Amino acid sequence: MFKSILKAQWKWTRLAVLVCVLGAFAMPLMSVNSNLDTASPGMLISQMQTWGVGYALLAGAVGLLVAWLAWAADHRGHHVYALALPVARWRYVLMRFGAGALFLVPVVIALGVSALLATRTPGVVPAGLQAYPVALTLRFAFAALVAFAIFFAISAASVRAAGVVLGAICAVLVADFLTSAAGLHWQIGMHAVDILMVYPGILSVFSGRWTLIDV
Amino acid sequence: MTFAVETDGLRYHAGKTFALSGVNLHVPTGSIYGFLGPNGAGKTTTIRLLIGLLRPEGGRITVLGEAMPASYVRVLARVGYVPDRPHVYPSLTVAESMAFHAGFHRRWNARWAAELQAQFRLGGDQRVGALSKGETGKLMMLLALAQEPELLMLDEPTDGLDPVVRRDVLEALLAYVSDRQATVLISSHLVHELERICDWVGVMDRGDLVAELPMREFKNGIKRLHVTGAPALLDGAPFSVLGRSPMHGGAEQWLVRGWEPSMRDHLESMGATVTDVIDLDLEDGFVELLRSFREQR
Amino acid sequence: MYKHISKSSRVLLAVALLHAGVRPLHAQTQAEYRAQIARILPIWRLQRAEAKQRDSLQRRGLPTDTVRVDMITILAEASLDGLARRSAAQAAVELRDRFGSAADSLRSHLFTLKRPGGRVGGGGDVTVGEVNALGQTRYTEDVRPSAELLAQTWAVRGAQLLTGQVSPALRRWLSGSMPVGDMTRNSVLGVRIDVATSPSPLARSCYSGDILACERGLGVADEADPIRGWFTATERRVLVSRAAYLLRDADKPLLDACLQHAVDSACTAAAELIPRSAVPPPFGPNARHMLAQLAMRMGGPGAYIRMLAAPDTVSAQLRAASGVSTDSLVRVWRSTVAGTPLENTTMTPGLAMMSVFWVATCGALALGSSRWR
Repeated sequence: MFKSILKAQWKWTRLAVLVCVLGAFAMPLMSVNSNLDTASPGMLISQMQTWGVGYALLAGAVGLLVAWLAWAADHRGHHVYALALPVARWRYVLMRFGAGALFLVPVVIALGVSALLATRTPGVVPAGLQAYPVALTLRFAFAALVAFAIFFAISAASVRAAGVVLGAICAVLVADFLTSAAGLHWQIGMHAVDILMVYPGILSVFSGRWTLIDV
Repeated sequence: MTFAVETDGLRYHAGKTFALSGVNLHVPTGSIYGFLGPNGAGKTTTIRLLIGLLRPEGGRITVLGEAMPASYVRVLARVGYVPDRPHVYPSLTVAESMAFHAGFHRRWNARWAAELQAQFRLGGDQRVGALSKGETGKLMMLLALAQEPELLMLDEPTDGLDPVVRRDVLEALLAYVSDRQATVLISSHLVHELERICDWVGVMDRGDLVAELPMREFKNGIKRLHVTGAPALLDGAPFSVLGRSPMHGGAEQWLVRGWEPSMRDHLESMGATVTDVIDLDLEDGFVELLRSFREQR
Repeated sequence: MYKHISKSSRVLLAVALLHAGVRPLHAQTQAEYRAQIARILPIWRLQRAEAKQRDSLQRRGLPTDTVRVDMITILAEASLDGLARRSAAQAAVELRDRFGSAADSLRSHLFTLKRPGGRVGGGGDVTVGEVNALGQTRYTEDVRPSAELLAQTWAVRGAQLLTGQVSPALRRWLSGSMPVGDMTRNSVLGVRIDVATSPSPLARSCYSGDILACERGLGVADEADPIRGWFTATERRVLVSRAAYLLRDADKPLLDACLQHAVDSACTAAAELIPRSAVPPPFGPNARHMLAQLAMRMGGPGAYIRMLAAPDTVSAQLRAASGVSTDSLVRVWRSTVAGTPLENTTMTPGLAMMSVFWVATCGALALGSSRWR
């Protein structure tokens, strides 16, 4: 069963995975090569942090794409085929999840190999600074997995559940707008973002430092 | 008589206007059960409830001796399902779809699948999304049959197909049923199509199962009578009068159910004369049945 | 002699005499009488000074209670006496520890502690300040009424005042006052980051183990040509842009060539015109503070006094304070900096566990969706 799911899902996902693999492989090498002539280590670190945004975005994009493609075909058929298969539904969801999670692996490996290659080049890491290819790869892996899990859960949910999530986001935005219009500096939106982005928030893995080369 | 499918007081509602209110369905094992009804009658909803795609709000469902939806995994392994709309993944090829489906069905008969594929003239490399409507219908029937099910639930499987394709599909179905003694529940609003193949018929209308009887009774029991001198009241008649309408010259046209030739004497004893007895085909019977049922409501 | 004494002072004198417990005057000889006067006169003068100061403070709206702990004197409002005493005790220990007997010179300095705007009692911030030699209140700021915060305030200001004792070269090198307290892990990490991110090539060599490079970067080695030795062309340009206001109009062509056309020779020439005091060594003040702290720690008690007495070069003064050669001191500094690793914040076990938790939660939500139940 899992093999069937894996094969079918791979067919739907392979193009996106391939593009992400190329992106993940290019990013560390490009980040280092574009900064080879940076005179100051401080500037190098700051450039690396700028690239860090790219890693976080790529992780989010990979997660979103793989999760969305895992369910896209079932969505198109209103899940009738999946629900009519002789397999426990929780097992079917787990298999889709497992297959999707497996497709993140090539992207993570591409990033890891590229990060290692980039930082092993002599002269790339100035004395006093450290390269963190493994840490960056692990963070990328976890971020991609979290993004995948979030979008997977949203995609797997019913339209009503997705509506609840969307409604909650809208409610926060409206409340933020109304309170600021009323002159109340409650910053509801800001607090909501903090809850999500600051440790131990669900998106905390995306915030903070994502640097290949750091002190 | 054992039943492959049995429901008892099945209830479900969707939205504010549609509801199944206590459907009692009995599909005899080994029968080809035609599930008739106009569009929106509740056929698709009932079938979806039977295979566990929807959860009933009340009542009991038994499919192949197992309670549904509790035992859906075991039941679905023994049921071939063809939905009213294509459900297979459009981005896969025919061969990939067959391989995917085979991965979930232990009784998948690869050889027969290949035979059906050849019989249906489906190319393995053809993408499902690029298949014509007829080819998609054939593929879905292929998938349902090659898993060697004990029960086939076919929801309007030939709807929209051209006559040639329809014949191919029904031939394959009949061949399978005669080989494996499988039960078939086939829904359609194309009454004449079911007339040829079904041995039982159930008629749904507006969420109710209004009739369930052997096809033979359905076809032979419903007649249109031309009656003169008909009494106003008919007490103790051995048949049911589904409808009466006046004709010219004081005559009436009756629609009756359960008619036997010997019943002519009963009417004449009441002073009425039966001038004509017209056999109705299934479609006419179906239409008249629905009309009379709606008038009663 | 006594006719110059005012009436009020005579009363004070009488009180002082009584306070001193003198025997009846008529029983004394003239010599005894003079000796007695000589003994009590300083006490009388001190008390008179204090009374005058009290009058003066009252007239200027300053607190009148005097809290004195070791070398720290604080004029505090009565309700803040306890806070003043606790904070002064902590600050005195730190200052004594760092400056030794040299800290005694703070005795004549007056700090003030009161509630802002003459508010009496209650919570809220307190206002700290000091009275300068002219009796004016200066450096007032509001701080939280915490003994630790106040102690830090007194210690830092005390260190600033005491740094006035050190040589101008050392003062310039410190770019501020002598640091009080010992270095902490965080302060060392700060130095590590400063040095690691320093644009100077000396930082790279220092990290690679070149002690002379460390000394040059810290500004404790003789640097014949600091402008070329300390900085790269880019940094020279940055240096000139930052110190452009110090250059005369006559140097404008040089400035234009440097800043607008990035001509390194012009930048070098312009940088050489900048006063030496405005050209700090490349590793930054935190690195130099840490070196001074290390010298003090290694030198133990009396380190600061020895430093004051040493010849007027930074390296000689640090050598005198630490009791070891500059090379040894800088070697310890380098190994401390290099041996204090930064935590890798790119990926932490906590982050990994939290991610796993959220993945599991989302997975459970997906499974719990009504469609898949």
